[in-house]
Amino acid sequence: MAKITKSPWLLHYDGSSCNGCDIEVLACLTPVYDVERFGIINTGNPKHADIFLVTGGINEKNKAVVKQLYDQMPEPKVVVAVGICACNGGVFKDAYNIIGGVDKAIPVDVYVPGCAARPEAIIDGVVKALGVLDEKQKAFKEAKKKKGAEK
Amino acid sequence: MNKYGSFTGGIFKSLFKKPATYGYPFNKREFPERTRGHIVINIDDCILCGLCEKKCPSAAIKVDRNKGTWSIDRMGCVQCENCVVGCPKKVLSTDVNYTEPSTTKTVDTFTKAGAAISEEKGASMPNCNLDSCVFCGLCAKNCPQGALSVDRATKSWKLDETLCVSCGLCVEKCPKKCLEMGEDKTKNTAALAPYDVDDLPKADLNACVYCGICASACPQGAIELDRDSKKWVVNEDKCIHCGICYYKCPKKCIAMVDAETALAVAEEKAEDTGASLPKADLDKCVYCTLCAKNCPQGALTVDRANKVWKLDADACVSCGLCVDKCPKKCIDMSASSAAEANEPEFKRGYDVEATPDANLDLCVYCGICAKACPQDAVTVDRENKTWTVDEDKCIHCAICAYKCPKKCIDMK
Amino acid sequence: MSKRSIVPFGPQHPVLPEPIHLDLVLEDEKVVEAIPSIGFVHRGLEKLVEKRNFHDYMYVIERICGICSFMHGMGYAEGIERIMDVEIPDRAKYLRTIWCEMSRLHSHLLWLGLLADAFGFESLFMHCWRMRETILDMFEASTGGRVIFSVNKIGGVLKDMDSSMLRTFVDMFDKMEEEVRQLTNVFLKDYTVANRLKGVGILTKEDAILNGAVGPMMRAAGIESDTRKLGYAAYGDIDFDIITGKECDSFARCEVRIGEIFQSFNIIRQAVAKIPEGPISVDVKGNPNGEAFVRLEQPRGEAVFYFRGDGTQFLNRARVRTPTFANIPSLVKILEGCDFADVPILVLTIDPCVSCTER
Repeated sequence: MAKITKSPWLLHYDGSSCNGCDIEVLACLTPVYDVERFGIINTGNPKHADIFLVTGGINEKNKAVVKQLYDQMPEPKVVVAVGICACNGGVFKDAYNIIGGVDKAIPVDVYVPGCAARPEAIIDGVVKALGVLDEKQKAFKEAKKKKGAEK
Repeated sequence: MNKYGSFTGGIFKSLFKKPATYGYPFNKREFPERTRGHIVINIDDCILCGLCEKKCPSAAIKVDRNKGTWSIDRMGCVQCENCVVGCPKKVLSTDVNYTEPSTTKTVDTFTKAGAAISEEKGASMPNCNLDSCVFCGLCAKNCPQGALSVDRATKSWKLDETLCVSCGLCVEKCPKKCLEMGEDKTKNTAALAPYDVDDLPKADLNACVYCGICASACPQGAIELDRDSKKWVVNEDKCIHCGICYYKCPKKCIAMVDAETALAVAEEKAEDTGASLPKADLDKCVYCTLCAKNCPQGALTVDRANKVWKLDADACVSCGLCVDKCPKKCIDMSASSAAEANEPEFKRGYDVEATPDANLDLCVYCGICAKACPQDAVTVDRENKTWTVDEDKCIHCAICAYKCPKKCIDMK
Repeated sequence: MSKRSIVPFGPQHPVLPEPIHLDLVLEDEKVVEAIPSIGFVHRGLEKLVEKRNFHDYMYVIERICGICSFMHGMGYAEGIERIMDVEIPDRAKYLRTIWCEMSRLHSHLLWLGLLADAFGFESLFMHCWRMRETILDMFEASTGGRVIFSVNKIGGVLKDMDSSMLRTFVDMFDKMEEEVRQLTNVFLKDYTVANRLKGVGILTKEDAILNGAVGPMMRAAGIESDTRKLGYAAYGDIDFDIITGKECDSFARCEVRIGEIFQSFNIIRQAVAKIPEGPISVDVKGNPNGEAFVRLEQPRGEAVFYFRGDGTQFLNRARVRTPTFANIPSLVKILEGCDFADVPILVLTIDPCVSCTER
C-alpha cells in the first residue's frame, strides 16, 4: 500500500459484461470494502479520471464508446480490465457479437481475473494500476521537460 | 407520518457500532471453503484425457497429449468448476484464493513427467471382448462422455469414437474385465454374441445338476425346472432371448440354439459318474457362510461361532457354485467322498478373538465393511466420518477386513 | 410553444452502472418523448447454444446477468428437465427456492441502494449495500461464488446446504430483518424520499396492461399477478400473498419491492422449515429432444424461457424474454411528460438490467 502516492479517480464503463463485475466494482465503494479510504473516487466524468476500469468484452457497438472515453481521459492514464470478459472475452469468446477483450480496442495495463472479479481482486488491480500510473507520470514529466528544453 | 428524523436512530446506532469495513488490504480475508478461487491440478494423476478442455465454457484449458502438458489461461478461467465436476480422475480441485491481477496475461502450464513420450497412446480407445461381455451396461453408465451405448436386448456394444476421450474409466468399471484400451478395434466389430438374437436356451441334461440358478435368474420366469423329476423346460413364449441363463449357469451346460433344436424332446439324463464334491481349505476359510447361502440345495452348513464347515454329501449336486461364490477362493471340487470333504483341518491367520480395527487415515467410509458384516457389528457414518465396531456383536469373522477395498482394516 | 431539443442520455452516465442510451426530446425542462436504443451490451449469447454441449451451456446462460444469475440458470435447468422428462429430487427444489429468494433479497436491496443514490441520499445507499454484503457472504459460503453461483445442473443442484448451515442462515436473516425494517422505514417515512417519488412516473393499470409491464412495475399498478404462484420449484408448497400497490407511482414501486423483501425472508423461513432430506440431484442421460417454455418470477418480473432440442447434444434454439425488455415500453410511457431531472429516478424505478435485456 506504500505505493499509493495520490488519490486516483476512477472512471467505470460496462463494456458488455453480465453486470456481475459492475456490481462488484460498485461494491468496492460501499462500506465493507470502502476504497474511498484511499481517496479513490468513482467519477462519471472521463476528464476527471486517472484510471479507467472496463468490465466486459468489446462488441461492435461499444468499441467506439470505449475508444472515445479513453481518448477523453487526460494523460497519464491507466486502463484496468476487470473480469475475465474484459481480459479475453470469457464465456462469450465465441459469440458472434463479441470481438474479444478490452485490449482489442484500447491498450490495457492491468488485467484483473475472476468471474466475477472479487472486490479484493479489483482493489489489488487498482493498486497495481497505481504503480503503472506512477511510472507513466515520470515518463510523462521527463518527456515534457525535454520538450521544454528543446524550446 | 414521521416527518423528521426517521434516519436519526440509524445514525446513532452506526456511530457506536464496529465499522462494517474490514480493512482490506491491511486485513486479509478468510474465504469460506466453498469459494471458487482458482483451479489446481494434481498433474501426476492426470491422464490427459482432455475432457476438461472440452467442458470448459470459456476455452481456458488446453491439454496437449503429445507434449504431456496441461495448461490453463488464468485470465480466461471463469471458475465455473465444470472441469472439476467433470474430471473422471478427480485430479482437479478449486482453491479458495483468487488469481492475482497482473500486467500480463498469465498462462500456467503443468507437465506430466514421462507422459511426453507416449505419443502412440493418443488413439487408444476401449475394445470390448464380446465373448465375455454380459452387456451389463456399467461401462456406458460410467462413461463421462456418453460415448458408449450398450443394448442388452440386441447384444450390442458400441463406441462413438468421436466422443471417446480415452480416459479408461470403462475399463476400470467393467465387472467382467472384458474391456481393454488399445488401438485394435477389430474385436468390437466381431460377431456380437455367441448366438443369434432369437435363439432359445437349451440345457445339456447330461451336465445339468438342476441347481435352479437359471430359473431364478431368468427375468421372465421362462424356465421351469424341477429337481425331483429332473425336468428342465424353457417356455418359448416367455423367453426374451436375453441369454442371462446362458451366462449364469454354473455348470456351463446351457447353450443358445435355434428354436427347433431347443424345443426338441430332451434326452434322459445319464447316470451320475461319481461327481466331485466341494472341500474347503479351512486354513483360509473365514466362515463367511456365502457358500452356504448360495448353495441351491442347502447342502452346506457353516457355523461361524464354532468354526464349522459341513457338507451334506447326499444333498450336494456338485454344481460348483460354492466354489464360484467363495470370496476367499478356499473351496475346490477335490473331494470324492463325504468323509474327505468334511475332514477337519482348523487353523487361521489371526487370533480367533481378534476384532477389526480400521486405519482412519486410509478409510474412505465407503460402508462396504458395514454392509458385509453378517452381524451388523460395524457402523460407518460417511457424513461424520466415524467408523465403529460393536465388540459384543462381532463374531471375529474378519469379513470386513477381507472386503475392505482400501485394505485399511486390521484384525487386532 | 418553446423550442424542442434532443438530449442524449447515456450510454456512459454517472447514475447508471450499465449502458443504456435514451434520446430525450425536451420542451424546456419537460420530456415529451424518449427514444431508447439498446445494443451496447449485446453479446449474442443465445446463439452460443449451438456451439456448447447442453450441459455446459448452463455456465453460459448463468452469465446473462450477474444479479439474477441463479434464476437464469434455474430457468434453463427447468426447461431442459421438462423436455427430457426429468423429475428432480424434492430437496433440490427447496434448495433452488431458497437460493432464488436470496437472489431476490440481494437484488431488491441493491435496487433500493441505487435508487437512494439516484435521488442523492448517499448514506442510505451505503446502508443498503452494506446489508447486501451479508447475503453475498451467505451465497459465498453456500455456493462458492459471490455473484455467479454455478450450482444448478440439469437434474438438480451441485451443492447441498446442510441443516446447520441453513439454521445459521435463518438466524442471520432474523437479525437482518430487524435492520432492514429500520432501513426501509426511512424509505417509507422520510419526507425527502416521498418528495422525490410520490406522484412521479405514474403508470396506470390500463397503461401497465397496454405496455405489457411485468414484475413490481406491474404489481405497483395494482395488478395481482406473480409467476411464483404457478408453483415451480417448491413454491407450490409455500404460502405467500402477492404484494400490490395502489398509487401506480414510483413510490408504490418502492413499496412493493420493500414488501417483497420481507416476503422473501418469510419464504426462506418456510422453505427451511419444510425442506426434506434426500438426494440433491439425479443423473441425466441422453439428449433433449423437444421444446419447452418456462416462466419464472425474477426480481425484475416475469422471465420467459424457450428451448428446443433435436436429440443432439446441442440445442437448436434458446430464447429468453427478460423482464427489463418487457418493461422498456412502460419506461418510455412514464418518461413522457416528466421533468428532465427525474429521468434518472424513472429509469431506475423499472430496475433496469441491461445485460439481461440485450444478452
